[in-house]
Parts: sequence; C-alpha cells; structure tokens
Amino acid sequence: MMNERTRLEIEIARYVDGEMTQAERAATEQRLAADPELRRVADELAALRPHVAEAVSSAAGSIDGERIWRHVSERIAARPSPFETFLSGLRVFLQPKVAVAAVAAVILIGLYILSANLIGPDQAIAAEPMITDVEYDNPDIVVIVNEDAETQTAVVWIDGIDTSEVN
Amino acid sequence: MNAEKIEDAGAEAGKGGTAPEGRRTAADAELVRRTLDGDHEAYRTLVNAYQNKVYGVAYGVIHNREDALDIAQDVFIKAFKKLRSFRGSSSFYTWLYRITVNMAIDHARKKRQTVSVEYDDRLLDEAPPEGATRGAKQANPLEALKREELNETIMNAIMELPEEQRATVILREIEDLSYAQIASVLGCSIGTVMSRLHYGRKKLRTKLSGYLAAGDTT
Amino acid sequence: MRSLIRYAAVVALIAAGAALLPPRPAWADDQITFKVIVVKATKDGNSMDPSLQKYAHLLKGKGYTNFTKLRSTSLTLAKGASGTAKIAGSLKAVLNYKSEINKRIAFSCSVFKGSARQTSVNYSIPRGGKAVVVVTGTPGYILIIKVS
Repeated sequence: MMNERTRLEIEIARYVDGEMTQAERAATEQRLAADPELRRVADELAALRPHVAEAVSSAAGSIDGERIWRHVSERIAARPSPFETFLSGLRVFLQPKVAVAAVAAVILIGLYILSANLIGPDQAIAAEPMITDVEYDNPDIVVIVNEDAETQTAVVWIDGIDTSEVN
Repeated sequence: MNAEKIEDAGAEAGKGGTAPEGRRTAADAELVRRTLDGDHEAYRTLVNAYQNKVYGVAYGVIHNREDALDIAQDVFIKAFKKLRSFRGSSSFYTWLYRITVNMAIDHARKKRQTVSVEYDDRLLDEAPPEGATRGAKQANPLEALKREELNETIMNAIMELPEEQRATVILREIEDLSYAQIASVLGCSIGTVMSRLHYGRKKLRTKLSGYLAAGDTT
Repeated sequence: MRSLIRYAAVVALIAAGAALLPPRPAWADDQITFKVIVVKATKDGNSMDPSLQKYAHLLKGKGYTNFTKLRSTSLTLAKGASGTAKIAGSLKAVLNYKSEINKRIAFSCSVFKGSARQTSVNYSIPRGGKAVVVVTGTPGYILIIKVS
C-alpha cells in the first residue's frame, strides 16, 4: 500500500515537473481527472514551487555584483606558482619562533595521543544518523529505513526486487 | 518507469539540448577557453553571468547571507583553479553548480544548523533586497505580514530537510534544473533525485498544508 | 650557513618528536572486519535456526515466520576496498569500506541482482553496531552486517 502510494506520488511529481512524454502526460491527466486525491497532490506540488521560490529569493536578497568579482580577481591575480608556494611554506620553518612552536606542537600532539590511548577510546559517539544516503538504480523499488540509536542498529527494508527466481 | 525512458522523456519535454541552452553552453566554452589563455576579463564575464545563481543555490542550502556570499566567492576561486580539469563533458554551469552544492553542503554539515533566521538587511546592500516587504510601502500591510510569515515558515521547513534533500529541492524549485541535470550536479542517479524530491517536498507540503490548502498566493 | 644549521636542527627535532609518538591506536586501523550473516526468510512454517536466536528481535516483521541461516561471511576490508557477500542465486551484496571518522565506520552496502545494481545504502555506524538489510519477497533475504 505504502509502495503504491509513494510510486503514484513520484509519478505525479514527474507530471508536475514536466518530466513525462506526451503519451505519459495524457494518461496521467486522465488519471487525475478520475482521482480527486491525486489531483490535490498535483495541485499542492504545483503550488509549492512559487512559494519556495518567493521565500528563498526574498530571504536571500540581492548581492553587490562587483564585490564578488573584486574578491575573486584579487585572489586569482595574486596566485603564486606551485613551486613558489612550496618554497614559501618551507621558509616559514627557518624562523626560530616558528620552529620552536612546530616542535612544541608535535610534542603536545604526541602527549595527547598517548593520553588518549591510556584512557581508552571510550568517548561519546556523536549522535548522527546511521543511514546517511540511499541511492536508487532500480526505480521500481522502495527503500524504507529505520534506526535504533540505543542498540546501534540501522534497518533497511528493500521492497520490489523479485526474489522468486533467484533460488 | 526506467531511467532511460525518463531521460528520453526529459529531452522530449524540452529540458535538455534546447537551442538557447546549446548557445549558452557554446558561449561558456568559449569564455573558458579564453580564460585558460590568460584573459581574466573572460572569467569576469562568467562570474557576472552566474554569481546570482551560485549565491542563490548556496543561500538556499545554508540560509545565511554572509556565509553564502563567502561560498560564492570561494566557488569562483576554486572553479578558476580547477578550470584546466573542466573537460566540458558537462555544461559549465552544471559543473559550477556541482562545486557550489558540495561547498554549501560541507558548510552546512560543519555548522549543522537547522534553522537560522536573519533580520539584518544591512549586511549586504544599502538598498533593500529585491522582493523584500519589510520597510517597503505596501498597499495591504496585512497581506505583507501574512506573506512574511509564510516565507519564514517555508525557510524554516527547508532548513529542517537533510542537506542532500535540501539541495535537490533548491536545484529543482529555484534553479529549474531537470532531473537529469540535478543528477549530474549531485553525482547520483535520476532515481535518487526523484526519491529525494519526493521526501523533501512531502515534508514541505506537510509543514505548509494550511497555506497550500487555503490557496494562499500573492 | 647559520640558516642551514638552524633548518637541520628543526628537522632533527621534529624527527625526534615523531619517534616519541606512540604507535597508532587500534581504533584507527585502516582495515575493518564486517561479519555478514545471510538468512533466508519464508512465511510457511515456524522455526528459527538456533544460531539465529540472538538476532530474533531483528528478524521479525513483514510476516516472516521461518528463518534459515544460509551462510556467514567475514569480510576484512582495507579503506576504499570492496567485498562481496553472496545472498542467493544472482542476488549479492557488495560492501565498500570508505573511512572511519570519530569511531564511526562509513561504508556502503549495494544490492545487486546479477550485474544490475538495485540500490546502495550509505552508512555511518559505530563499531559494534549493526546494519540489517531486508530484501522482501517470497522468499525474503535478511543480511545482518556486524561492524567490528
């Protein structure tokens, strides 16, 4: 039921977005004429776009066109050659204060890693989603995801692959 | 439905390979060639042509004007540095959008912001922003207030979407890219584009159901 | 000459500092082991392979009542490498280990039918966590991927 509904709404979105062939459009229009609920979805999708465009452009405002070019042109004009960049990077370490600071940084980092090793890697793990993206290559399938942070388990249900012939 | 049929449909619907787009792509290719030959004015033309779009996409993803402006500047600097590796297999603006979306999503992930509301119009221009209603004369102040409230609701709803869904919705609703173009920008399949659009718009429709049902338009 | 001596001294000090660094901690390994258990699930009968009892709570749902363990595969992958876990017939899962950040393992699990990729799921799962992939159908197939 869920699969069919999602599939239908994706088809309606294709219709609203002008991603259908003429034949598909004609068939979808007939379907919309017969189904008020689908018609409502189509109308909402069509209404969404001008609202989103208005909201984003209103909030974004306009920009000073020259400002971007000024900044960009300064950076691209001042670009040193890769070898000059490498050399200037090396020269920094010849200054005594920088050299001392670099050695101190290496020692401090070493001490930090050493102490982390002694305490153990038992730190709080950031509460981030466990499923970060789903990519579809087969447009006929639907993927439903679920996560349980407590048991650190991510479950994915893949509907629509015909498994009857794989035996 | 299958991916090939959808791409054919996209072409038939006039979303790909149209005459104006072909001319733009050819013009951009010439400007890129001249830039690589050392003509910085040619690059300035490209910057002027696309800076509003780049800024708009960056803003749509991160909802912060100053940061979006910084990202726009960084996009053009990075594009200049990588111009030699631009092989022309995609259009220049698709390539530019890809850099923009990647930078904006990286920025958003680092900040992990969900909702950011700005009220200070003075960050950029002295002149009021285009389309802004605050401070401008309105024939109907009540309508202006309703519009402002709706805009804020929409921006908050957009910012609650995961970054990839947000970018997909912005590229479709603001930049009017086809599914195939969005897939090229985001480096994913058309099926993934449709999926992200579906779930992203579904959340927006849910948040805005009252406004959409009332047929609230300006 | 003095600059050269100063430069050499800096390099020597940095080398000494690096030598004092402890060995890389175990949790920053470039290899991760994924244990993949493949289970066949049907709606006829009512039994569960004894070795699957501890995963019973993960296997419920979609009306499946009969669970048979098909195989257990261990994939030790270096960063960037992929490994294949056969499911059944032409169905297979390809795991790709991407990186470890903040003790969370970033990897993808792609399901293939023959050579055609059906879908790919990107994960960021803490060590010791599990990813469960259920390919519904008749029969259904359940992959339990343990990240260690």
